[in-house]
Formats: sequence, structure tokens, C-alpha cells
Amino acid sequence: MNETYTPALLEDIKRTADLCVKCNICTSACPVVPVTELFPGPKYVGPQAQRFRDPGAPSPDYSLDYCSGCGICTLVCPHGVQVMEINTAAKAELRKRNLEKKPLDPKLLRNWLLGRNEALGQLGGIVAPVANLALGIKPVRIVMEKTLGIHHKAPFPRFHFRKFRGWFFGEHQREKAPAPAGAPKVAYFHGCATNHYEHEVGKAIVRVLEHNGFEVLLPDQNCCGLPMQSNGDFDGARRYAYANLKKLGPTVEQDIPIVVGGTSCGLELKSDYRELLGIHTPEAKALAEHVYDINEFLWLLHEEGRLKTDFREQGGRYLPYHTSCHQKLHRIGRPALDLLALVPGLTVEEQGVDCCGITGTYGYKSEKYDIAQAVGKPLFDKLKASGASTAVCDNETCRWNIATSSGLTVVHTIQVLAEAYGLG
Amino acid sequence: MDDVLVIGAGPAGLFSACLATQRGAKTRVIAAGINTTHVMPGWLAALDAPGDLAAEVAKLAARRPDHPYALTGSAALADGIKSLRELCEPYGLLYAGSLRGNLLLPTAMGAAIPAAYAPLSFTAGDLASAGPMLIAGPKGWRDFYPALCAANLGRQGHAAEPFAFDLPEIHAVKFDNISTGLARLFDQADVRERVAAQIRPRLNGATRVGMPAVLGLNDYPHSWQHLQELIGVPVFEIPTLPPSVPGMRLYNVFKAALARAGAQVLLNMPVARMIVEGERVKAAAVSNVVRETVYRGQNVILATGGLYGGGIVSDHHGALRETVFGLPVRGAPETSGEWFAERFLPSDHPIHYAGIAADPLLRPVDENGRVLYENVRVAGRALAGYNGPCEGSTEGVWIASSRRAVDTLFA
Repeated sequence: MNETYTPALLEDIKRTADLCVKCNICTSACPVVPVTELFPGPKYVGPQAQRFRDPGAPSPDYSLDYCSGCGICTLVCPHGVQVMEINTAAKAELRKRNLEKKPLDPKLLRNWLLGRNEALGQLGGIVAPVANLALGIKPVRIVMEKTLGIHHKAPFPRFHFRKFRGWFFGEHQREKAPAPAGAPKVAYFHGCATNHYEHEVGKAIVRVLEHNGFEVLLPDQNCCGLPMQSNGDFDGARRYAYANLKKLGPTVEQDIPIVVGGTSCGLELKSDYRELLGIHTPEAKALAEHVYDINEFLWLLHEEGRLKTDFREQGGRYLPYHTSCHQKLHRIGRPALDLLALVPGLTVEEQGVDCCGITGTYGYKSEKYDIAQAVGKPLFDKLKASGASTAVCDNETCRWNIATSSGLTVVHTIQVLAEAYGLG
Repeated sequence: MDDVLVIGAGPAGLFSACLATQRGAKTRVIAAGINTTHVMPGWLAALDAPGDLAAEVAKLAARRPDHPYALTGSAALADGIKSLRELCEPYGLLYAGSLRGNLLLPTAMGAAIPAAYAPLSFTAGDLASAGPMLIAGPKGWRDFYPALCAANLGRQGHAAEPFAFDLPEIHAVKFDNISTGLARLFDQADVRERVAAQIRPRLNGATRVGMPAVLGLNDYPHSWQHLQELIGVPVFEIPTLPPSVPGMRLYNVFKAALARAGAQVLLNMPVARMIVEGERVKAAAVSNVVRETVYRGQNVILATGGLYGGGIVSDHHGALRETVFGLPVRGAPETSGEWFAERFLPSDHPIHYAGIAADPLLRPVDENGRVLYENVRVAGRALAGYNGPCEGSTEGVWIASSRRAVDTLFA
């Protein structure tokens, strides 16, 4: 009925800086500003500093690095300024310049490492018992902090020798009921975390989809590239993006929807390949259009009347829910809350705290760990006081952070649904 | 499918959503972002008129049948204020005042603004009282100048002395201080103690102290009450430049009440189009980078705001457009001469009256008064026919129209 009012020029995220009226709503909502004096707020390092970022001139960025990238600024802005995205693009420039100035800075090596969680998962998995043991030993973590700047209390998941893909192609294929003839197909992008650390999330997603009559495919795939991107390594992220575009191409060509369990990986495939990494190819567009957040996919299925609702009565069970920042940036609403509301006898309460603090790899860094913990404290306190033993969150690093800092078990929405369906 | 879809997260949208949940409606708010709560002064102005406001509102409604107050009826204003006070009270945000007459409250410039109700932390500033004032603010803070405020109050015959106190925290960081940051400082007891210790010896006979409206955010009203006890005379807040801390307190009440009621507030979700069948709206569609997210609703409350809030936009020729439905906008200035009227704010500039025309059920109507969508209600600044800043009716209209919108949906 009405076209978007934003002129085509402003679709370039950097140019959305011109929409800023300096109302400071973003600075008031930023969760990092109240806990540190090192970060002046999103308005300053975003739209305001953007006006001074001449490609040929030195950048005024000293505090930009303390932006956690949670995106709450973008969320609350009533004028359409993509504040967080402006910051992310500027961080890539900052990294490039820092590399030229101080190529041997250990923090740059640390950021390089944190960007490679896929390789870390592979390596750690091979020596899983040793790696898990080592990460559990405080002196080892202290050495890691001193040499690499990875905080000794930062939440590391447990490495596994076996991979989720191994389960899927192995015992699952042997044990599952054969897909009914003509069953619709859905492809699953599991991401690194599910493959290496959290097999249970992947198993729940596969089982819930199969329970709803789908044949689940597991196309070849690699890390989405977000950890590199958020550490300012756009070239590395683009290499991963192009590799995924190639690997997922045949699935897209067959018009098979691709569901993603992790909210960050999903956002990367849907939006960041094009909007931030600038891959404006027909393949990137086609891939994005086939990608669904798993909760979004199931909710759309329900809206079409196709989702099974044979959930078991939960007898008044209470589960606190935390919406991850990246979930909000999908602009799909809160499909997890809508889905969980379908389960009888289950009360799910959104905690209303904007951010848990970890924001990907930010809270792993020694200089930012305390900031991240202070950001998440209201959430941890609320969860501890809730009396619940399990909480729900759909982003992996948020889950690990919340679990470590609150003591609760934190699961993905689909794990709750799988349990309610009575699936293995 | 929701019972009520509210579009807009400004005061009218959030308040209507709260009222809808109180009726047991499954309610969802979708909005572009946080909005005018964060720029509002904090008080609740119903009408700039001497004497009994309920009677004056009724007179205005009789004189101007297209005024929102004429559509809502004056009971909606009183009922709405009652609902708002009851909603805020459990969260410690207390409003005082009445419709029997206005308070006269100072601004940061030292002007006097009439308002029917104000937060309890504002009311000691009522200029109807003759008590001499000390106007105090942090030294070197660019958003509030005690000397300017006090001098202008003095010129109008209100006894006021200025005092700038030291607050080293605001100079310890190299960045700008905004009101939100100061409010977080006043949430700390030691800051309040240091500030009170400087103000007490400077009272010099003042019976009340005016300070910028930053006296606590998360720990409000305790922060304000504690400071007042420490200083020993009533302390009142004066609105600052945006962002508005009193508005944030109200936003936080709405947010908490909606969370408690299980209503989702979805930001960064500007509605791209409405899905309509005949005279009924079926759903709202929000675009993301790959597809539309569609919310089906039995009823829709359109609370997207006016030209300031973004519900109505103008092109550079001055043509006005309503952003969600493309509804006709009534009362736009017709010539560039009207646009460039001599004075913009303290005048009856036609742009202030521009908005969506509605029937007494607040359903949008076309140029001939025909109802366009029977399950839509318009609330807040999107409505045509009033000049909030000049009439002093800004808050009264969003309160009355939100209450009326929900009342007529559940009649």
C-alpha cells in the first residue's frame, strides 16, 4: 500500500547516519554506557563519528572498540538509523589500521583466534578430554588470559570428539523412521556450536521437524563467518560466506527452505552477507530468501495450520525466557514466545532485560569481561531469584554465558518443544 | 491472532496497549522504535485554561466539534487519567493534581507551563505558591543553567536564586553527559549526600529547591525522596532537554506492565503495509530483509504519532502522508505561505492541526466523514484537529483518546 519512505541512497547503512536527530534515545537504551566510562554511547561512535570518517583521513575512533555490537541502539531508534551496523563497519576499518600500526599486538591475535571458532571446535574436539581438562584448570586459564587476553572466567563450552553431523549421518539415519513418501524437505544449517558443542540442540531440531512430517537434510556447510566479522575481519568472513554460498547453492536451487537454530548464524545468512559484507550477488539474495530462523519457520507453519500441537500437559511448569539481541535484529517478532504459548500448562516469561552482555566474543576478552558481566547482571539476578532451574534462550554464546553466570541450565526453545512433544 | 494490535510505542500506543490487556485482550505492540516518551516533559497537561478544566474541556469540545476532545467526550479524559494513575502507582510513579485547576510549573528556561497533573517530584515547583526557590544544577552541565532559569523566573515575579553545585563525576569522563547518565548518578546515595551537603548551606531562606529532572531513574522515587530528606525542604524537578528522564520512568512502567500482562512490545518493526479486506483490517505486515512478518489482529489501534512522531510525514513540497495505511491527512497547510507562517511554535500554525480525521468511535474517516475501517481506532498525536503545544493539551489528548479507543473496542 505504501512504499518505504527511505530514499534509495539511504539504504546504504553508513548513510542512515543522516537520519539521526541526536535525540539520544539510543544512548539512553545502550546497556554498555551505564557500566563503563570507556564507551561514550552509540550516538557518538555511530552516526556522529560517521560524519568524520573520511576514507582518506585518520579516523577519530578511540572508544568504538567498546561497542559490544548488541544492536539495541538500532532496535530503539525511531528514525531508522542503523547504529550498530555503522559501528560494525567502522570496526573493520579500525582493525585494518591497528594491524598496520601494531601487527604483533596479542589482542589482534586473540581476536583472530576468537573469530575461528570452527577451527577451534575441530582442534579442541580432536583432543577433547585434554582440552576440556585444560580449560577447567585455573592456572591454564590465567596463562591464557596473560598471553592472549581471554578472560579466565569466560564461559567455554565443552569440546566433544564426536560431531553432531556424525550422529545425524550415523545412528540417526539407522534408527529413525523412514520419511513418508512425498514428505516436504527442509535443510538444516546447524552452525559450529551445535556441531561441536551442543548436539542436543541439533537433535531436538531434527526430531521436531521430522515429527512434523519433514524430511530433514543436512547440506555441506561451514562457519557462517560472523565471529570473524564481529572481530573486524571482513575478508575472512567473506571467504566463509562465499564458501557457504557454494555449498548451500544446490539446496537453494531446489527451493528447499533452510532452517537455522542459532539466531546469530541465521542473521548472518539472511542479512549480513549482503548488508555488511557487501556481497550483492543473486546467489546471496536467493540464499537469504530461503533462510528461516527455526522458531520463525515453525511459527509460520502454525499460521498455516500445519504445525502439530500434540504437546503434553506441562503441569504448570515455569520457564524464564531471554530474547537474544541477534534474535531481535531478525525483525520477526518473538516467534519463540508465540510457539511456547501453544504448549498447555507451560508459563514462559520474557525477562525484559535487553542484553546478557556476552554479545558473541566481546565478553571473552579480558579487558571487556567485567563490562559484559555488569551488563548481564540484572538478568542473572532475576534468573537466580526466579526459583527456576532451567531458562530458555536461542543463541548459543548467550546460553553459555547465562548458564555460567546464573547457575541455571539454559536450553533452546526447540529443546522445550521436543520435550513437550515427548520426543527422545 | 491477536485481539488488539497496537501500532506505535509512544505514550498513546503503550498506554492503549496496557488498557487493552486490562480488558483481557491478547495484545501486541509493533513499532519503529522508542518514541515521544523520551522527549516529553513529564507532566500531564490537559488544557491551558483558567478555572475548572473539565468544564473548559467541555466548552472547547462544543466550540470545535472536530477537536479530539469532542470525539472522545470529556469523561474519557478523567477516566483516562484515573487509569493512568492506577497503572503507575504500583511502580512508585505517583501523579498529583486535578482537573479542577492547573498547576503552573517551571521549565529549564524559567517559563511557566500549566499542567493538570504532574509527578509528585514536580509539584513543589507550582508557581501559584509564593515560596522562594533555590534553582540548583550541576556546574558545567550544558543541559541546565540554574542562573538562566532563576533569572527568568525572577523577571516574572517568582523569587528564585541560582546555585551551581560541584559534581566531579560529570567532568571525570571526557564524553558528553546526558540526562540519563545524571539520573543514574542520582541513583547513588553518596552522590545525593554530596549534592545535599552543598545545597543545604546555600538555602538562604529558600523554602523549596528546583533541580533538573534527573533525580533518579531505576531507584526513583526513592532517589528523589532521599535527596529531599537530606536537603530538608521540598525538592522539585524541572524538565531538561531530551532525553527525558520523567518520560523514561513512564516508559519503564508501561514496559513492565505489558511484560507482566504477557504482551509483546516489538521495536524496529515499522509496519510496511496493512492487509485489508473491505472495511476490515486483517493484519499488519512488517518487512525484514528477506520477507514480511505478518501479524493478524481482530482490532488495530493506530498510535503512530503525528509529524514529530513519524506517523505522518511530509515531502519537500509540504504534502502530508500517513505512513501505515496511507489514510487521508486533514488540515495540511495548503500553500507555502501557510507553511511559512510568521511564527511556528507560539502560534496557530496550521501544521499543528494536521492529522487523521476520525468519528466519535475514533475510527478513521475519509473527506466525507465515511468510516474507512470499522475495526481501527486512532489514538494520540495522529488525530487531526488540535494544537497540543499551544492549547496545552498534548498529554490530555493521548490519555483521553487511548482510553476512548479501548473503551469503544470493548463496548
